[in-house]
Amino acid sequence: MPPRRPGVIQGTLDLLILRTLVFGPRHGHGIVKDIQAMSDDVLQVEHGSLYPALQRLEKAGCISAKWEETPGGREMKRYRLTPKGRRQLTVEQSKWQELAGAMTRLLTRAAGVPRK
Amino acid sequence: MSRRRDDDLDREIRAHLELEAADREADGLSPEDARREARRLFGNPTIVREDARAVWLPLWLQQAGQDARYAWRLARRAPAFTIGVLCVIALGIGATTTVFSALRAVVLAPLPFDRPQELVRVSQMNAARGVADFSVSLPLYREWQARSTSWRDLAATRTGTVVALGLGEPRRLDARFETWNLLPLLGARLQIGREFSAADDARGAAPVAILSNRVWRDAFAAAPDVVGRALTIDGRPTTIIGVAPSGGTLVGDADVLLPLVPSEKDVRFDYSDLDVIGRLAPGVTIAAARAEMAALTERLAAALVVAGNTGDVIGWSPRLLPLHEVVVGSSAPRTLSLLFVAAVVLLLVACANVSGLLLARASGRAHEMAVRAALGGGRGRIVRQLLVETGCLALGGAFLGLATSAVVLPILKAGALSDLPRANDIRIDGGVLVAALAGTLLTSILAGLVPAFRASQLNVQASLKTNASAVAGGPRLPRRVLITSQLALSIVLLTTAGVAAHALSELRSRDLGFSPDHVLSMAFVPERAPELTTSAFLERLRRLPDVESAAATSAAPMDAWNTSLHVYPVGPAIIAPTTAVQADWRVASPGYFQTMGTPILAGRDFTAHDDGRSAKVIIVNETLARQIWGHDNPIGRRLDLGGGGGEPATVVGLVRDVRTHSPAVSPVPTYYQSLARGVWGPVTIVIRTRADASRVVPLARAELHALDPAAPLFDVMTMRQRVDGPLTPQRLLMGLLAGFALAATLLAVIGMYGLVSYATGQRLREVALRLALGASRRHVVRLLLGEGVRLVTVGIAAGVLLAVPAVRAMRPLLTGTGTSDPVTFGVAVAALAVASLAACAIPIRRALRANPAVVLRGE
Repeated sequence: MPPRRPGVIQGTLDLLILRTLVFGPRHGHGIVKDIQAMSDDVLQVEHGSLYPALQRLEKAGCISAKWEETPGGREMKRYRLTPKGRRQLTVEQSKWQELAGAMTRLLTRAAGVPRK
Repeated sequence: MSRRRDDDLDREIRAHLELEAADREADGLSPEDARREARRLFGNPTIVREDARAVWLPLWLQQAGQDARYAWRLARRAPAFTIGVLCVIALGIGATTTVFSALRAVVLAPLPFDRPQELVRVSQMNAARGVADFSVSLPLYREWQARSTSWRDLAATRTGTVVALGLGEPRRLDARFETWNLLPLLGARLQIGREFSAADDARGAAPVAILSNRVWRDAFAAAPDVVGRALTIDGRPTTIIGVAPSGGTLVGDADVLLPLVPSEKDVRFDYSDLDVIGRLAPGVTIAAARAEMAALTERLAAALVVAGNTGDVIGWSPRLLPLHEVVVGSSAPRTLSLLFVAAVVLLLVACANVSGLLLARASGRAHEMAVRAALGGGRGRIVRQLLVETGCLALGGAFLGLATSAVVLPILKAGALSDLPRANDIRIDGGVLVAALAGTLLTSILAGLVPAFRASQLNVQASLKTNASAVAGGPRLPRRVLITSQLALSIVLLTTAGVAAHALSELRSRDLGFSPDHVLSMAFVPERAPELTTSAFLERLRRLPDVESAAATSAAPMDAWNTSLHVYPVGPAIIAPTTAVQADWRVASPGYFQTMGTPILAGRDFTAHDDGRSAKVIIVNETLARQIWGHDNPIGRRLDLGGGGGEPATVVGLVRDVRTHSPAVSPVPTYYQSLARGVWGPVTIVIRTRADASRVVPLARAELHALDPAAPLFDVMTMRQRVDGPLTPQRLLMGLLAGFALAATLLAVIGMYGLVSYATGQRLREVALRLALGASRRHVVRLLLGEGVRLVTVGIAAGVLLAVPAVRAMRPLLTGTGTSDPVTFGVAVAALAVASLAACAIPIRRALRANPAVVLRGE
C-alpha cells in the first residue's frame, strides 16, 4: 500500500486552481496534473472535488470556461483566469502567506512557552 | 442548476475520466485497470455532481431541500401521527376553503360586465309611507332617461311569465322583458346571435326572443343553428335571435329575454313594475347621481300635479343602489362572512390541536434535538427544520382539505348553497387556491412556532445526560395553553351555533297566520276567461279524493313578487282622508282563508257573487284595519284603492295577519279582493289535502290538462317548502356553524384526552405508590382530575368571555330577541365540560386499574 500523502487542505483548492491558471488556460484534468506536478506530487487532489470548486469560481466570476478542441481531437472545457480572478489570486495568496507565516512562527515558538 | 449546465458537467466528467484512463494506460496499465484507477482517483461522481449543482443554488434552498427530505423520512416513520395531523389540518383548511370559495363567488366577485362599479339600480322609495323599495313606471323611466345628466344610459326591465309552445310539452317560462339598450349598457356579450335592436321595442314589431343558456341546452340540445328558429310565446310566433351566456347574472332566473313592448297600462305614472338599471356617466359618483335624480324627480312630480295628473307621484324619491349590492343582497354577505370567521376559528382550533400533537412528539425527540445541537446544528437551523416539517404537514393537509372541498362543494351547491345568489359560479379557482395557500402558511406558522421555540430552548446537556422521556416531563405550560385555547374557541363556536339554531327554531315555530301543513300550492296561467277557468279547475280539484278544500289566489305567501297599492280612507278613520297607506293586495277565491287555515275574525268570506256586477268588496287584515280605523270595527267601512276617486271598496271581512314575505318579516297592511271580480297573470292554487300531498299532484295535472291542454302547471310545492325557502340562509348558517362547532369540540376533547393520558402516564409510579401506601382511590382521583378540571374551567371561562361579544356581533343576522341566550350558553358550557371531563376520566381509570406491584417493579 502506498504511503498516505497529504490531501489538499480545506479552502486552499480554490487558491491552487487560480495559481495553476496563471500559466494559461487549462482543462480540469490538466489542472489536477499541474497541481500534482507543481507540488512535486506532495499534494493530492481527489479529481472529482475539482469540479464543484471550478463551478464555484466560475459563479464568482474568477474564471471563465469554454469548450475547445484539444490537439488530440478531444472536446474539453478549458478554464482561463479573468481579471477579477487575477486580483482574487493576489488577495488569496497574501492571505495564505500571512497564515502560513503565522503557523510557522507558532509551531516553532510553541515549545518555548513556559507551562504554568 | 439548469439542464444545460448538468449536461455540460457530465460531458466534462466523462472527458476527464477518459483522459486520466489514457494517461494510466500510457503508464502501462491494462485498459481495464486504467479505467478503474481513473474512477478511483475521481471519487464519487454522484456527490461531485450534487456538490457542483449546489454551487448554483441559494443556501436556504439547499437546506430547505434537506429539511424536506428529512421531514418526509420522519413522516413515513410515524404514519399514524402523520395521518392524524393531516386529517386535522385538512379539516381546518377544507372548511375555510369551502366557505371562502362561496364567499368569493357570491359576494366578492365583481359582476361579469364592463366596468361593473358604474352600474346602479334605480328604484323608488316613500319614506312617509314606510315603503323602502318600489318599482318604477315606464313614463317615469322615460322622463329620467330623457332628463337626467348623471347617466351614460338608463335601461328598464320587468319580470313575468310566458307560456311557450314548441319546446315539447307546453312550458311556462320565467321571462325578463327589457328595453333594447340594456344588454349594450351592461356590456355583456351573447353566446350566439344578436342583441335586441331599437326596432324590437316598438309596438307591433315582429316578436323576437333571446334564450337563456339553460333553455338552449335543455330544449334545443345546445344546437348552434338555433338562431332563426320559431317558438310560440303567449300565442304569438316568435323568432329566436340569440342565446345568453352561461352563468346566471345576465338573465337572473329568467328562461327567456324578450323586448319590453309597452302595454296600455304603461302610460300611467303610478303603474310601477320596472327595474331600472343605469350606467353612471364618467366622473359621476352615486351620491351625486342620487342628489341630481332626487331634485329632478321632485320637479317632475310638482309639474305633474300642476298639469292635473291625479296619479300617486308626491312623496316618492329615487333610490340608488350599486347593482352589485342588489345582485348579492344583504343576507348572503353577512351569512357567508360570519361562516368564514367561524371556519377560521375552526382552523385556529386545528392549528392548536396540531401544535399540541407536535409538542407531544417533540418531547419524544428532545434527545434527537440535543444530539443535533451538540453536533453543531445552529439554533436557527433546528427551528427552521421544525418549521419545514410543519410546513410539509400543512401542505399535505391543505391538499387533502382542498380535495375534500372539491368533493363537498358540488353537494353543497346542489343543496344548502343553492339559494344563494350566483351559487352556480361557486368553484375552486386560482383565488381560492391562493387563499388556501395563505391558510396553509398561517397553519404551519401557528402550529409549528410553539414546538420550534420549545426546541430552541432545549437544555442540551440535560437532555443528553438523562433519557429522553424524563426530559419530556418538563414544563407542560404550552400544551396547557393550547388545550385551553381549543376549549375556549369551541365554546365560541358552540354558543354561536346554539344561538343560530335557537333563532331558526324560533322562526320556524312563529305564528304565520296560516297553517302550512298539508297544504299544497301550484300555479298556472289561465289563457281565456281566467275567472271562469279558475273556478272550473277548483271545482274539478274539490272532487278529487284526499282533497279537503281548494282555493285560488294571485300570489300565495312567500312568493318572491309582490303587488301593493296606496289606499285612502273614505269616511271616518284615525288618519286623514289624504293620507295614503301602502297596502299589499292579493286576489282570493271563496274558501281561500279556510284552505290556508287563516281565521276570519269578523264579517264574511267572499262568495261567487262578489263579481264585477255586484258592489266592490274587500277583506282586510288586522294591520291594515288597525292603521286606518284603530280599534274600531272595520266591517262596512270604505277605502279608496289607488286614489283617483273611483268607486270605493267596502270592507266585508277581517282576517288574521299573515306573514306573506318571510317568517322573519312582520305582517304588512294587506287587503284581498274577490277573484270573481277579476284576475290576470299566473294564478296560484292552494289545496288542503287529507293524506300525502304528493298523490294529489299528478291528479291535479290531469284535471288541468283536461281543461286546457296548453296550460302548464308550475311552482308545485308544499306550503311547508314555501315557508322554509326564505329561511335558507339561516339554515345554512346554523348547519355549517353546528358542523364547525362539533368538529372543534371533538378536536378539543381529543386534545384534552391526549394531554391527560400523557400526564397520567407520567405519574403512574406516583399513583401506584400512593395506592400502595393506602391512599384512598377518591383522593387519587381528585389528585389526577385536578389539572383537567382546572384546564376545563379556565378554557370555558375564557370561551364565554369571547363568546359574549361574538354572539352580540352576529345578533343582527338573526331574528329574535336573544332572551334565551343564557340558556344556550349554559347548555354549551355543560356539554363541553361533560365531554372534556369524560375524556379525562378514561386515562385516570386506566391508571387506577393498573396493578401497583407491576408498575412499581418495572422501571
